[in-house]
Amino acid sequence: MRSHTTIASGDSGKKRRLAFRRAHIPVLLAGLLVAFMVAFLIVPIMRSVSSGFFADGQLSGYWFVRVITNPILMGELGNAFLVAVLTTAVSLLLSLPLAVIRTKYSFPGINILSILVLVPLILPPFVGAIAMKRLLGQFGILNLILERIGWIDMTQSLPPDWLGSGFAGVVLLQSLHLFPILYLNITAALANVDPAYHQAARNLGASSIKTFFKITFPLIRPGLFAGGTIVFIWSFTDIGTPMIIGYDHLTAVTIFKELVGAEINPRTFSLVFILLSSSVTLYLMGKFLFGRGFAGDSSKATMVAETHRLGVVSTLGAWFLFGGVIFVAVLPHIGVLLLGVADSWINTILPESFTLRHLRFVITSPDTMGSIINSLKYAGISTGIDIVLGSLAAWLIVRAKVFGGAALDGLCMLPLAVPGLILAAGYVAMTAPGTALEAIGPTQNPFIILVIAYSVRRLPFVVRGVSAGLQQLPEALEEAARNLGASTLTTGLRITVPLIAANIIAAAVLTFAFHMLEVSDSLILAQTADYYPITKQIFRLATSTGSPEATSQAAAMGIYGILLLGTTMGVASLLLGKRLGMVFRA
Amino acid sequence: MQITLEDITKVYEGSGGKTPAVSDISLRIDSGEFFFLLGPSGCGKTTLLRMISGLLEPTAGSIYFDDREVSDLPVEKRNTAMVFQGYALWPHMTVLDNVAFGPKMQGVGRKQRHQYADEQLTTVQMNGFSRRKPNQLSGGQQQRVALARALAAKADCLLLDEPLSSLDARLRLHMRGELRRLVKSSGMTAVYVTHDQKEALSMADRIAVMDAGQIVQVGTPEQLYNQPDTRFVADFLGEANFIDGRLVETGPSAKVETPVGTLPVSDTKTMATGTAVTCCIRPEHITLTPDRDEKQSDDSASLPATIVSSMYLGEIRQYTCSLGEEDRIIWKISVLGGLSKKMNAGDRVILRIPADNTALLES
Repeated sequence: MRSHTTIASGDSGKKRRLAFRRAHIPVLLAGLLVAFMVAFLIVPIMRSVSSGFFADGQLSGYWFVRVITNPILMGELGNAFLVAVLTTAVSLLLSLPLAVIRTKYSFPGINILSILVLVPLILPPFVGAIAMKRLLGQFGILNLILERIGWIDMTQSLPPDWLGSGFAGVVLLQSLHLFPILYLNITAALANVDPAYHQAARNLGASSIKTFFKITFPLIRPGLFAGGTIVFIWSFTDIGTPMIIGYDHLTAVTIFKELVGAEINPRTFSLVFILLSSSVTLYLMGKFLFGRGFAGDSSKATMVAETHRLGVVSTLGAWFLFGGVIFVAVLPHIGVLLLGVADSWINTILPESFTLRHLRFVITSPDTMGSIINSLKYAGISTGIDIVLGSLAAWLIVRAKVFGGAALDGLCMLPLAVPGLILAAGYVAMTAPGTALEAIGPTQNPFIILVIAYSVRRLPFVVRGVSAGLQQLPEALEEAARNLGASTLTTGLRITVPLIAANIIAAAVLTFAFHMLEVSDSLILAQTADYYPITKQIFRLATSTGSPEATSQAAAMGIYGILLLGTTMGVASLLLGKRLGMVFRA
Repeated sequence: MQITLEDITKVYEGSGGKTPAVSDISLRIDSGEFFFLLGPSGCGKTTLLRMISGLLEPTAGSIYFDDREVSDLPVEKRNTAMVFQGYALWPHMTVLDNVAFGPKMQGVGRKQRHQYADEQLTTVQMNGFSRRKPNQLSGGQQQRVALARALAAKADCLLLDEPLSSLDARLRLHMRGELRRLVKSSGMTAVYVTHDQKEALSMADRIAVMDAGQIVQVGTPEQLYNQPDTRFVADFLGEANFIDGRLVETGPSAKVETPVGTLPVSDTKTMATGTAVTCCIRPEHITLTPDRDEKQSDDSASLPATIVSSMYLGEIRQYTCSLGEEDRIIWKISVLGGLSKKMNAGDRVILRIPADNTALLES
């Protein structure tokens, strides 16, 4: 064989430069992404946490000790924990049977029912809470119905207040809002379990029930955990629902009130620290106990899952179960719809007359229309940022397999474990009066921090959605293009993007919808009326005592919200089908 | 175009430490040659092919296309055309757009590249399907389109990664001849990866047999099959009977003494008298005759044996025989069409082994 040694050594300099360039572009991009996440996620959290450990300019545990020895504050933490545990449990009870039926059986109407189950997601629970008060309050519709059928007599004694202290109401509203997230996760996890595992167990003599608990359940546990975490942290730190219902004894509500109050003191940030460390600890514990996957878990199914066709009686039973859950879950939405178009609705089960006045008000009043336009602006820009950064992250992790990919993935998923409230508190701390960033603070012009907060919060959905698409796309399709002379960029634009377009569009649509109805950061970060997004405006109207029309106007805004999110969720669901659940994985 | 590999090594660094996939391979593939990389799964053959294409970078060593070193060229600049195992046809493009992709990347105008793609589709007899999407085609049709796409790229060489493995058995047989005809008529240098020895033997100009990241033997199909260098090559290319012995005579009347008797051999390579060797005899090279048959020629050994079992395989019947002291050695003998007289287990027979067909391996 002829020797090329001389040529090889002469070119070694060029060789190294080429190798350097090829290997370092992904690292450079990863660096930019990390910088973004550090600047807008890690630094705010650190600022927020460290703000709790200063007293009179000195590092001090004073406030921290004050907080953890305060029985009222600790009681609120306990309440929040209880709300979250119960909400997660109720959500699981609602979603698991439906998800199992959805994946194991087929019957007429299953597809439409499966989409209807997602309807509760399309409204922040605090908006539903406005209607829930009308339904379950002391002179609410439920009591009116009970009086009509003669079970209670309002003239004799005060009727029961079903919302009680509000604790049960908070759990109920959050569960009804959040169970679809678990439903999606469990459905996706069940669809991923190779039916051969199940069949092997049945073949060896295990009963259907035993197979579920011994084989299926352990295999879907990571998916269950992923959904459960989102539900838990969401309800642990929600502020909108408890405030509308009027149940204030929760850590998150106290933090909110202090953050938007006149004077922010280190005690607030000590509370933030405690809330954050509780969330993260619970998240890690859950991940350690339930979230670990199995080796070979990702292997492709060896066969197509078969669904059993249900008979007439079982079909009716399934309809009843789905229908019942959906009916209860959409009661708040129905309430909002009625409130928004009700002309006069006092002491009657249904409104006496209807009007389009409130709906018209929303699009003609500068305050409400302005907030809709603000939300469209914030959501549009943040969605753009998320799609670019999220797709980049997914590509770096799944395809470029950049060094430290797992850590990068963890960083991009971190916002799921960090409550929006805490991130918002961080931005408040960063832009506090007297700091360099005061001008973009909540009380001045919060446009930039709102957009950034939205982007950071929902980045995980895009990363997950796009990663799922990339993982399902055979790499050979991209290699074939490179082999025929297409550059990395051309390959991305001509092959990869068109083939995972469904994932990207679905992720964009969902992200946009979530941005439009972002609650906690909006409530905290938008403190000047000119910059209110939709949610803050609804909240203001719902809690305002000035005008008797305000509640109806809030509900009318809610109707627009429902229409918007309903459409987008429908589009996403059509695009992704059963894979929709992949977007909600931690 | 000639492909030269020099001391190519590829080491994968994973969580389990460094795993060499290919170690220190040097090889030259001649211009216009249809060259096969054959070996069991995990032997490094696909890794080697992907390094030629530029999809993988070698850890060490150099690759030359003619006199040009291409080791540092990224995949898209290397101008090879690959046919992928699962075809990798883009599902969002029509057949025509798939085939025209290569010319498009080379800046060929729309009309011209479509015309050229049509020509390639005609070559593989897939004209008339150009408006279809890949998922509307059968496996065999997709295979042809994948080949057309590679041919249309006007590349310097063709790289085929187990292109027939996704087809069913019948179609695979049919496509062997077809594929060889198309590749040879293109005049391109082609490298073909497979683990199917029949595919390699029936299609290749030359074959490199690989095992555990190294090339064990390179040669024409006949050389490899009839004169394997190692037991691995002999075994991998088909069934073989082995018997250890000692070379007792070289030259025209070379002989090997074995526990079952003395076997005449014709090719002793460069081995000296007294060398410990292993004789390799293919089942179809042994003639099996009933015990009483008297006909005998000089240049073949006659060994007494006992039938243990027989298996019907369609065109041949395979007998398993025991021979040697206490019948401890078991051989397989294939007889085309079976014997005129049906043999049963326990029957005594004579095995005739011609000198020409006994290959010697160094023990």
